[in-house]
Amino acid sequence: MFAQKGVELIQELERAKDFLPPFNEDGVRQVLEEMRALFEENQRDASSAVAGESEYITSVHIRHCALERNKRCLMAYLYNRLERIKEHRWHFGSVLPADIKANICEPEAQFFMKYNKSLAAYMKSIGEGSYSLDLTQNLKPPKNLYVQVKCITEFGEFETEDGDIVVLKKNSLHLLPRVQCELLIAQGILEHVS
Amino acid sequence: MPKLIFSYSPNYFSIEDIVLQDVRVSCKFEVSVPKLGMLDQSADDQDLKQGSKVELPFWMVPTLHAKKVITFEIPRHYKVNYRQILQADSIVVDLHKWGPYFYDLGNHVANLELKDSLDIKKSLVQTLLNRLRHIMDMSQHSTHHETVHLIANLDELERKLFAVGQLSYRSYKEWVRRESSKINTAALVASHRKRKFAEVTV
Repeated sequence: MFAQKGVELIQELERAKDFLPPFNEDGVRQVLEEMRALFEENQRDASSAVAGESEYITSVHIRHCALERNKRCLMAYLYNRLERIKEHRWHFGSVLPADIKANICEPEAQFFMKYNKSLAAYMKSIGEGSYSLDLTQNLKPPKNLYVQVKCITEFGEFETEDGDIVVLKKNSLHLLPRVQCELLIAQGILEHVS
Repeated sequence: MPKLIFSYSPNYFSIEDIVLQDVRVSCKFEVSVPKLGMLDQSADDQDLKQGSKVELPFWMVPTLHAKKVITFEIPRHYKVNYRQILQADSIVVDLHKWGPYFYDLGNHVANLELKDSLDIKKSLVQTLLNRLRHIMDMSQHSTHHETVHLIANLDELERKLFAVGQLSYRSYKEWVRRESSKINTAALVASHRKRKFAEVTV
């Protein structure tokens, strides 16, 4: 049956709802090969249909339908992956963990880099003077300047904005400026205790 | 927040819409099609003969139906006797078994301008209307543990509505306990960590 491989790609994404599965290069290539075969057959039949053998027109229609379907599967596969990569930028920060990086292909890595760059450029452009506005911060309205946090991983030294150095050891408690630990909390290094 | 909008068909990139259109529909070819005998696996002719019955994926149907190449049988769960079941009591029906994407596929079928189209559409709307109240009730008055059991007979669209209801109830609870200003680990990061942990321990 036509377009089986394409749907398999999509199902792969559907099953992996909250993470990014490895880029299925093999699957994509197989779909492209099927499309090329369909296209070549169609071209042959279309030219004989032009020559007057009109019974071929229906075959051309059916194959064209399969081509469209394959195209939709491929586009949706790539697009939905990019959407997930974009989402990762907001949650993991500008550097992806190594095992997620291993799952993205080269053009996707380039996309991530460019997305990073334009996001940074935009955040720089909306601040006043030398300040820039970090959009990934204060996702929830801040109630106080300092928050009490508990460190849940062995992180090491962390330099705060005013130059102090805090050693973040596992299970240690700290009172830190909210601005500086928001990303660390989102990344699961610190835990907010109230 | 679960993304409701993604289930709808004008979205070219919708994963759900692509998956749900893969359902097989039994069709009958009204013209013969040269060279595509492979579509009919029971015959090993090179050409597809007029009148052969083939199970085609749904995504082929709209185009071929519009060009009068095929006639097809509407999936049985949208037929009149099943519509009567829904009319009698839709709340007890296991819609997930009737097709995980019951409403969306029904919408596609109804849009093919059949003589039943209007009735199908009416029945879909009425079904959702009848069931919605019950779904909302459940989502507001159930603990997290009961979820799997409760959503067993809901179709995918209803499951999303259920999830939205549950989430809003949970946010309300959080607000009441004054926990809403607490900064949390991003959900994506948390699940990534769990998976990594599972890999290490296995």
